[in-house]
Parts: sequence; structure tokens; C-alpha cells
Amino acid sequence: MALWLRNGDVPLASDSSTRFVPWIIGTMVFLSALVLAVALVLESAIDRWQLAHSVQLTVEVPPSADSAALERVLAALRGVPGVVDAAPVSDQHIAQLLAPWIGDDLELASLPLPTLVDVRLAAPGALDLAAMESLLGTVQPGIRVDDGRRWLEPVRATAGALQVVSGLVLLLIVAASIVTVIFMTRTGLAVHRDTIAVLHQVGARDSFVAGQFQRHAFRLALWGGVPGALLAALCLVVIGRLAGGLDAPLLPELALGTGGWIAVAVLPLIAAAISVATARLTVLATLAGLP
Amino acid sequence: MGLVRFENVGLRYGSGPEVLHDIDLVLDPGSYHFLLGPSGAGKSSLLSLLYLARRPTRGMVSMFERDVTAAPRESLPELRRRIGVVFQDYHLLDHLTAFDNVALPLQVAGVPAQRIRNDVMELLAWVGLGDKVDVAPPFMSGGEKQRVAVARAVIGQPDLLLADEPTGNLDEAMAERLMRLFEQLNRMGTTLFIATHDTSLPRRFAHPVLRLDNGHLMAGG
Repeated sequence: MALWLRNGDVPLASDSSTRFVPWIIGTMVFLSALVLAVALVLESAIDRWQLAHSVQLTVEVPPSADSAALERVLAALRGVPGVVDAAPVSDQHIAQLLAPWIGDDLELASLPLPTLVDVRLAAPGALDLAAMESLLGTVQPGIRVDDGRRWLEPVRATAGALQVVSGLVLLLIVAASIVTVIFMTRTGLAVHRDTIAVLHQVGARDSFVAGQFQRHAFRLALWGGVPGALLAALCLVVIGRLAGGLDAPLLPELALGTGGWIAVAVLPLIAAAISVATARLTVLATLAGLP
Repeated sequence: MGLVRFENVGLRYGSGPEVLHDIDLVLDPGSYHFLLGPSGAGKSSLLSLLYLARRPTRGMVSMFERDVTAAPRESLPELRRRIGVVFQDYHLLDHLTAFDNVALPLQVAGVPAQRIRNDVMELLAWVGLGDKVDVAPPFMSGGEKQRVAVARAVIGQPDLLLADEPTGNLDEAMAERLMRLFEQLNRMGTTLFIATHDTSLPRRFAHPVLRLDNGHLMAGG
């Protein structure tokens, strides 16, 4: 009989008490993948918002300004160091932006709306904002510069808080997985006490016994973790497709990048590594109490 | 210094009464002793100290010229590999085949697979189980299990071989053959210590006898 075909020296695979473990690990990996995806999508969204608002800003010219005043503002803007371009937002675009709130039959001329000017910057931080505001104030009183920070800061703070919560949930999931493996391993040690005594009697080291539990924990973690990750990936694809059809420009793009997919794919291996390490430490700590 | 030396050894389980009292014992290399005593006299407890499953609650135990009374746990596996044990109730692993049970001591010692295969097949054939290599203990008779247990005890060519009622489940012919094997191992230098209640064994094989009575060890039969 080939030695590599032999049964495990501790018959852990036949333990009915460990049959639930793949389900638990699978659920943990599934939840971890979803939480991780939320954290990564938020981070990506924050990065995109910050990037967008670091190279562009909006100037609101009051309704009282006539076209000559607007031209003076545009000329002043284009002369500011760091500004690449400054162009008024078209009436058609403004109508599109306002349509969800006040409908399609919009007569812009009948509303006292400010004229919006899109300003594109050469690079993030290329502009002295205070100097520009001061300059524009002399060209047209009542002018207002919106660089996005007013609304971006609270959004970023909220997203950051959500990321912290995601991290805590991930830690809880890892802790629950570790407790599960500790419970499984201790049960196995108790059930197979006599077998382990025989192994010790023939000269097995504690690490040899631990190896049996490590292999078992590795198999169970992958047996549950791989389906858990696959199911999570399926859910993320479906959510991404559904979100892609939404007309909600403020929502972050609900799709993972390559790094995110790699992280989801690696989760079962991380679960297996945690399970193996936990099983080893549990066995060694328990056996250390024997004579 | 003997291969095994007990000095004033006592053993108790937990907070219970002492089951072994003031044991003084020396087993010289290559010696052969029978241990006689009625059930409950403490034979199994004494054997458990000898195969390092327990430590004495008092006194000093030295094995292979090492004081094991308070030796670190990590040092014990190497010593246990020098000890073969044949248990009265076999202590075989039911989920493993006869081959894997016998291979166990070599497997845990990291012996190469080819050598394990050769040695185990040869020994199983010698004990008359060449056709039971792939059979697990639950499908064997008591005598067959006993022979697997003996094969496992001697496969690692131990310096010290302990046996607890080794012939108890064997027919007369196989018991005779087993005792001849023990004699042969002893002539090759293995130290033997056999616990039995069969008083005919010491009569047939002329070796020193120790008697254990109510936890006290004394010489003579």
C-alpha cells in the first residue's frame, strides 16, 4: 500500500461534529467578501470624487450679471495661473440637471438662476483659491466659487466611517471564524483522546498531532471558503449590473476593480491560513498540559 | 547506571490514594524480567511510568540515563521511540489497516517510505499476517490484533520492550512463537519487561521475576 494513500492517523474526517464547519467558514467568507467589496467601492468612490474636485471647480455668477460681465469674469478666470479652461454651462445642461426636480417644461429665462462656469485646472493644487476669489470679487460682486469641499468633506467623513465599520465587521468575522476552529479542534482532541495517546506512545511529537488537525482544518476551510467566495462574486456581479442601470450620478460605481476581485479570490486562502494557524496553536496549547 | 532506574517512586492519580509505593527498580541493558501480580496490584500503573505516559508524583525515574522525572515534554518523544509496548487491549487504531498500524512508529519517526514498506511487510509476514496487510483491526480476531500489536511494538527495534499480558489472547502455538521472538530480541540486546499473571511463563523461560503486590514491588516469584 502506498504510504501517501494511507488514512489520516487521527480519523478527523469521520467526525460528525465538524460537518457544520464548512458552512460556517463559507458564510464567513461570503460576508467578508461583501464587506470587503463595500469598503473597496467606497475607497474608490472617495478617490474619484477627490480627484475630480481637485482639477475642477464651479463658479456661480449671480443672475444680476449681464453678458458683458460674464465675459469679463471668463476673461479673468482664463488669466488666473493654473486655470486651463473656463466655460459657461449650457442652458441645455442646466435644464437636464434640474429636470428631476422641476420637470422637463422648463423656461430657464423665467428663473433667477446664477450662471454656472466650469473651471478646469492644470493639476491638483495648481490654484491659489483665495487669490482667485479675491480677483473675481473685484470683477463681479456677489460671485461665488464652489470647489466641492463643502459637500465633499461630510461625504468623505461618512464614507470613512463606513470603512471603519466595515473593518470592524471584518474583524468580528475573523474572530468568529477563529472561535469556530478552536471549538472544532478542542472537540476533535477530546473525541480522539485515545488515538492521540497511541500516537504519543509510539513517539509522535505534538507537532505531528497538530499537523493532522492542520490538514483537516485546511480542507474544511477550503471546502466552505471556495463556494462562499464564488457565491459572493456572483452577488457582486449581479449588484454591479443592476447598479449600472440606475440613473443616479451621485452613487459611486458599484463595481470592483481588478484588485478587489483578486482580494475576493484570495479570501478562501486567507480563511484556510487562519484556520490552519488556529488549529495548530489550539492543539499545541492543549497538548502542552499533558504529562 | 541501568537502562531504567526508579528510586523511591510513588504514584497517585489526582488527589486519590497512592497506587505505587516506594518503588525501587533497576533494569540493566539486555536484561529480561517478568512482573507478576494480581489484578489491581498496580502493574499497569508501573508500566505507564515505564512507557512515559505518566510521571511519578514522588521519587526519581531515569530512562536511558536521563532523569525524566521533570524532563521537558519536548524531550520525551525521542525516548518513547526507544520503547516498544504491547498492550493487553492492543491499543490499535481501528481506522487504520494492519500495515498502517504497524508502520506508525516508523511514520512518526520520519523513516523513508520504502524502508517502512519493506520492514512492515516483512514483519507482518513473520507474525503470520502477510495476507491481512490491508485489513483493519475491527475485522480481525483477538489473536490477529495481538500479533499486529506485537509487530507495532518491535518494528522500531526498541531498546526496551514492555508487554502487558502479551500471550493473553493467543493460542498456544502463537504464544510460544511470540515468547521465542521475545527471547530472540533479548539475545539481540533488547531489554524486556513483561507483566503477566501467567505464572507458567517464568517457569518456562528462566528470567528474574518481580512481584507487585498492593503497590509494593518486591523480588522473587
